[in-house]
Amino acid sequence: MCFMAAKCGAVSSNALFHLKGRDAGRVMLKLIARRLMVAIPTVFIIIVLSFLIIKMAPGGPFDAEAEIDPEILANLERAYYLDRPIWEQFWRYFTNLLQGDFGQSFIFRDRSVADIIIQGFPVSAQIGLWAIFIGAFGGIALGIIAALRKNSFVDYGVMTVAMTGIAVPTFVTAPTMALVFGLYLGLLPISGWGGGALPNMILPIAALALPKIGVIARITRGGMLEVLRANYVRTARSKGLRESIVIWRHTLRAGLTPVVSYLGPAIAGVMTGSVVIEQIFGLPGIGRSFVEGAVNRDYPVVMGITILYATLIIIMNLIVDLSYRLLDPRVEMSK
Amino acid sequence: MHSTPRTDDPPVLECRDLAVRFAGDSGEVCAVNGVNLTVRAGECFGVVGESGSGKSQAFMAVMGLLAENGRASGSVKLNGREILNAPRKTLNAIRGVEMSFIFQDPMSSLTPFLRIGDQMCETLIEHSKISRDEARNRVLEVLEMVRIPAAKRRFGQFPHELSGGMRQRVMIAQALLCKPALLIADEPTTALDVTVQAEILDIFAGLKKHTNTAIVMVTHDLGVIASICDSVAVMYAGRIVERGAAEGVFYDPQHPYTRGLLRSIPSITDDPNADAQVIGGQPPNLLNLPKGCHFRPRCENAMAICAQELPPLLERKPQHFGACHLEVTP
Repeated sequence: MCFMAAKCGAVSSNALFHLKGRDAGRVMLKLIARRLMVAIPTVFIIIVLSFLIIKMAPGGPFDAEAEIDPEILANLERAYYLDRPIWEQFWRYFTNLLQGDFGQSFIFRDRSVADIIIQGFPVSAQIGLWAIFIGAFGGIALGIIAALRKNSFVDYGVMTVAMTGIAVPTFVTAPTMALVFGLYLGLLPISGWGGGALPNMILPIAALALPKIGVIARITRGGMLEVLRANYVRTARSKGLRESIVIWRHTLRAGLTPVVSYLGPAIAGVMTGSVVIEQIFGLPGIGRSFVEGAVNRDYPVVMGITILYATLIIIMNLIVDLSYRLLDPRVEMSK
Repeated sequence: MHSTPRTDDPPVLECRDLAVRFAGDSGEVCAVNGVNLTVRAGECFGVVGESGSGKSQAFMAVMGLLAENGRASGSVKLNGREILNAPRKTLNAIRGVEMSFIFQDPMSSLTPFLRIGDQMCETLIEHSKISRDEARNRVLEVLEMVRIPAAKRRFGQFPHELSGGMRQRVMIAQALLCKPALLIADEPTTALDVTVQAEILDIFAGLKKHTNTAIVMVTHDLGVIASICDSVAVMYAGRIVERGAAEGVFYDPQHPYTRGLLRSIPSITDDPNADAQVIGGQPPNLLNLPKGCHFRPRCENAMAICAQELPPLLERKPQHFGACHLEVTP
């Protein structure tokens, strides 16, 4: 028994929650530092791959509908070093990048990629964060209700609404909402950013949040049902605890773990904008810039937004991993 | 060894015609059928049977913890009060207070993300007006009672930081917090190492000695029964086939199934090269029980009547009941 207890003590010293506050903080900082070190080669590989893939795509930035004089085209390509070997192009791009220069847009010659991101990202990020916030709250609430009323009228109702939210694409819901609330009822503006005015944001946020509510409700319901079957939930009931305590204290944390896993990448996704929403509601976000950039072979714009997205994904995944440790003390910090 | 419970005491637990049915895809399964039993204060009542004999489900029904598709019928009285199928609110006032349950698997039966101390204190705080400090003191007291070393340190630990034996001690301590009149332990030693099993049984023996708690010990381990139980019920296919004082059941079994179980215990004097003694055949499929006596297909004494009639549980010796068509052996 003594041996066992000693062994337990040794194992537990790795777990965050056994450690005193300062040690726990240091372990967490070390983990963050290590993960960021790993992130550097990851981002580098992403930069290399996306650079190569974009160049592999047929066509180029100056393929206009009207034929361009071959001499002019050659001049243009020389100006942007597109006539150089690909490794040289990459080296030029990469060294500029290291100095914080994302380059100029090939198409909008007066705008730098940094400008496009600085102007567009706050728009996309605001819409996206509000949408995922509403999606998380609404989805978690609906999912819990459905799980607690499993196989009832309420459950089927919630799941039908959730499936509808997922199945109907935003290019259907967004114009419909614009039509009803904007044109027929005249309650909300149907287009434009309005400098970030609240009424302008409501419809795009709603259209973006709807499918998120559906997905998160389904994930929550599944996670909760799984945990409600756990032995420790039965133990909690055997102790005569009120059902609210059984749910809030003994079920929720484990039941919401899948939602947390989903939210990480999803937040990165919505922050970098939705081309459909931005197009329909005429918002100056980066989702639109990204797709236009890809269509126009505007290499620096596509690269810039890809790097932003990759960085966000890495950061969000790190946050998700850290929160796993908050949700479940069995997850060890040293990994 | 211990004082035998007095039979004129009012029973702590009284089950009459307890039945448990589960709705399944392939029809309704009757997991427990017509179970009658009485457990008195200070008594340790053993329930033995194979997996699927309904022994656990019978007591899940008592606690009101059946799975969603399970329904219980009959009567269960705790200290004279009917509690079977009582509303959740009524049950919550009783569970953890008047009766507690110790689950089989200590690894998965404690909430993994709550500290040991927190999940123990909450039981006390839920059921009584008690301050956190008082709750903490009581928890430490009970942790020491089940002989957990360094209880203060355990208080702030998570379940995964404890060994299986320690976790089972925590489960037992948790069940004892409110000094329940009835303690139901469902295979409390099955998931543990042999040495740890002995230590856990020792705790139960201590409980019997020092408290007046009625203990129901659900197990498939006859050794556990022999070491601490006063009375035994043997279950087969959802029914009690034999019930009586532990000594009577062990030394003068009245049912061929009990005799088979006892014979299947390996003995130190057995020829090590001989095959183990087993009861031939398989436990019956509850969906499709044999007509007449459910044990008949595996019974060495089966007679014509056994295929026709289900033998009732009758008193064959004083206070010793058996459900068998065989004549009482003198």
